[in-house]
Amino acid sequence: MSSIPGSIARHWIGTWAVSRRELYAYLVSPMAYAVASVFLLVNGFIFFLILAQGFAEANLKAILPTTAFLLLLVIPVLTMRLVAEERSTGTIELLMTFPLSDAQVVVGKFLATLIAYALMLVPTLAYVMIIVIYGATEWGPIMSAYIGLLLLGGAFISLGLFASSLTRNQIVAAILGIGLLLMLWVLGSGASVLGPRLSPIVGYLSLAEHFQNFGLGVLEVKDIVYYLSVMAGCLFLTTRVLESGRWRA
Amino acid sequence: MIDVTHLTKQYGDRVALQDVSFHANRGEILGLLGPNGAGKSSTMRILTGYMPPTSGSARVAGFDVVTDSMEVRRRIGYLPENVPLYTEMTVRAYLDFVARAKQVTQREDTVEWAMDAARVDHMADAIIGRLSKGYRQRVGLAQAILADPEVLILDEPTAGLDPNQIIETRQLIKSLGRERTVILSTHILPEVSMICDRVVIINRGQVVAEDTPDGLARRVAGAERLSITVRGPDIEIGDALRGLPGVARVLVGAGGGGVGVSRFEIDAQGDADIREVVASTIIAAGWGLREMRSHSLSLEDVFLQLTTSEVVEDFQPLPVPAMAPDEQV
Repeated sequence: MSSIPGSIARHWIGTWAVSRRELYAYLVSPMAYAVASVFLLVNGFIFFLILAQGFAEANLKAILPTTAFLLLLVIPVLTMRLVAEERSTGTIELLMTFPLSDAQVVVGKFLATLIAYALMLVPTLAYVMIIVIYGATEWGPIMSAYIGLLLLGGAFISLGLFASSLTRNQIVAAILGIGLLLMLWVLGSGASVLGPRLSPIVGYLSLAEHFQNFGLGVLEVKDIVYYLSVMAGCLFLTTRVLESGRWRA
Repeated sequence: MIDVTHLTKQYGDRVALQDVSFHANRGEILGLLGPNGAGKSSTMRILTGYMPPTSGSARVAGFDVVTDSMEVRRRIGYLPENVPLYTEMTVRAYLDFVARAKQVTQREDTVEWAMDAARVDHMADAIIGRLSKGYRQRVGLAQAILADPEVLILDEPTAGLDPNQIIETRQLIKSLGRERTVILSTHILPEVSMICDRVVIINRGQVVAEDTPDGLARRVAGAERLSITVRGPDIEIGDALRGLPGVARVLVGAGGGGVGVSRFEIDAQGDADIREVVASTIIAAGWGLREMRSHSLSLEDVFLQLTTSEVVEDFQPLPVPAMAPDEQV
């Protein structure tokens, strides 16, 4: 048997092959540009409104809830094709007979979308520049906001990927993804009516709840762990869906 | 190289494959022949590890397709039936992706070699979605041979190609089959006799014959098909003919020219000569024997015999010239 680093390297080559192909697909697809444009346009307009109202703090706290909600709507559109398209065109048959594990396929697709998403966030650095120009900047909250956005986006992407693995219809995948995310988003608001025993649990599960601290410049382990476990959980489920698809094929 | 034993595949209640067994030796081109829906694609999907069998087992290069799927996948090149490709990519980018996924060393050279072998080198920078069916098929083949696999599994590699492309593709498969084991499926008979070393005929999920193309031809070398035109009640005549010794199958067709005249196609069992017994039976019954011709069965006829389980009662015979020659080979 080969060494552990060697085997990790070999796994990585296969995973990266999948990621590269997905990034290629994003780069040549009008959908990715449409999604990025809509997101940046609406987000930028709201940032402008906030500035126009005379927001005084030198960080991104005010815009973050809006950004997060917009992402909830656009990320499933970005992820909807990931597996559903392969199912409808039949390319999944070749993909799954290449010497790649189901996990490599899933992680590869996830990483590609995460990279595409990170690229989509790059233009928002303009907001940071505006803040820098107009005032003394609190770098801590800005850094933590971007870490939070990456974690939140990663969780959204993994859930969208899971939704895409459930169907061969991309529209259904997008609607399912948005629906699941919305549900997890509003869970927090339900906490108050669910009584003392359930409410902390439901509150912990809420995607929105964990995001608040990042805007304040607070990096809490429980928030980071929460998003990472959402990602791990969704990627694991997606892998199982692909696996069970073989048995139903 | 490939061992399939007692393979069964069910989709819910539908049985797609039932107790299928065959094998292919190293360096052999094996043809899976059968009508559409016979189970050829299911067999191939199991061999490639895309889906597991319901029961039974399959081994490729000594590895079980279920328990050692990765080892099997490293050793095969697969061309699925409808050639699913990423249509947004260029040929070169796509093959580069496949080379990475298959962990090919010296990627660039390998991609160039595969494009050359599959004759898509002049389309290297074209977008796959804009290619014709024939070119897509070639890209699919290039993809399959890319990692120089020991085993090639090709599901209807010539489907949808024009005659020139079919000839080219067959030549390519033949040359590839010199050092590799190839399994290909087809429903085109001449293709089998042209490129395959051995044939497995599948019908309704079961193996109905396994032989060399020559062996199949020999099987029917003595067998004859008799075409007769008779005046008389067709149902009674048909029943009488079916009752004769040495008769394997009788097809009844209308219209031998005239009222109450019917045409019959009679297949003999093995190399039995049924001409005289057919003629004397008809004459003894007082029916009018107007024409009798005999010709040897072709590979097509054998295929039909093996794959049509119930006798087709009505068929429309091709128009026959009135003064047809007596013997046709």
